[in-house]
Amino acid sequence: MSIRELVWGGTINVTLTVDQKLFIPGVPAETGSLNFRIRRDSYIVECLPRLLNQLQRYMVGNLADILNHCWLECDSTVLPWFQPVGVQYDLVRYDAILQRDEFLKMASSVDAITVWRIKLNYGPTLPAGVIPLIRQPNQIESYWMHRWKQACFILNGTSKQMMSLSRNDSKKFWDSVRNGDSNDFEYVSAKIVPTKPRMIPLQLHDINDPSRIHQPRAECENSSGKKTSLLDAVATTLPQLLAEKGQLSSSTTLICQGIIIDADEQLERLYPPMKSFDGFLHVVVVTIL
Amino acid sequence: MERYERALVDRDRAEQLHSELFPAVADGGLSLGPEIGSSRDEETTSLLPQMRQLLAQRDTTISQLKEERATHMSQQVHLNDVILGLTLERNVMEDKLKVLQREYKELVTRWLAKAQQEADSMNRDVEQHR
Repeated sequence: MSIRELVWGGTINVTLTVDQKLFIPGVPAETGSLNFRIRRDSYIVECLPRLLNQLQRYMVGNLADILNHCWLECDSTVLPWFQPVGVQYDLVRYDAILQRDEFLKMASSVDAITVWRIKLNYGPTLPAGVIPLIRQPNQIESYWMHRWKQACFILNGTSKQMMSLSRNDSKKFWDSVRNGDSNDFEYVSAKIVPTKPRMIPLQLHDINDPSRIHQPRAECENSSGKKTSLLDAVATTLPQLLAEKGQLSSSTTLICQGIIIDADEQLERLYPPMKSFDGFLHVVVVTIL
Repeated sequence: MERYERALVDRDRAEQLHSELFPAVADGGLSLGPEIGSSRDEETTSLLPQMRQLLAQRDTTISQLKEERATHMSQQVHLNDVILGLTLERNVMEDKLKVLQREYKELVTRWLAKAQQEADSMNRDVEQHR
């Protein structure tokens, strides 16, 4: 399998616990727990209606109202709905990625299971800093479209490629994300992503400050014609992570799509296979303080 | 790049352990509890909106009754206060009545005594004229 196929096909096992407040009194607590597998390259809120539909018969109130007043949490930290599942997972479970080799050794001898436990909370008011979802699912689709427009502008210097997509193609594009159809996705994204991009849509997520997303200006080549590496982009936004001689400090690791990547990898080479479904290259910066 | 391919395979090995226990959302193969679609289930599901409406109605009735009860309680407290006040007033009046009755009796005896005195003096005058 190619890297692209592996990136697209990555899934995570999730156990979602739904707030007990949402159930009719007397419904056993285990009913509110859902086990499912979700693609790393997707939005979790996008499939939330499909998930909650399964539980609707046990729930008080209607689904539309519930969806407007709920938010997801992992270990009491709110998960922003507008980030890809994979990025959210890497941000909270980076330790599992750093210790993957030991885990795999251990898993071959004993029965191990990897589950991401998250909680769906419900309340009349959302916690501070949570962007409300009021127009499900259109809000998610238009947000994602805007992301691609942004990415398209960064790549080409214009959003024309994105704006001139036919109605059919843009529908096909969103459906490919919803249904996990990689052929359609590659077909439409090939119309947007140029073979020789000028800049790379890159986002850096710092585990020590996850609410702040860094979006450095990442040109493929610098003025002297040298290919830009990931390290160069990190250096411009997070210079405190650099050790002497311009190298990344030993306590810092860069994670993309759930794997550790080299800091001196060229952005131009890294972007096409490792890009996320929203057109951006998401890199999680892990610094052990 | 080959290194990344191996790393991604390892990632999937680690993250997708026993993923067969977790149905995929995108497949639509997610189903929990009893199968949806059996006739009995459809019957129950069709009843659901009705039941929900009923539940909502009942909830409003309960809140209404609760409000009513609260009003009744406050009214009762008020009435108790009025009763207490009236009892006090009655006690005061009773005391007053007793005092007045005693005074009246005294007056009557005094008046009788006076009348007797007058009668006696009149009798005495009559006797002297004879």
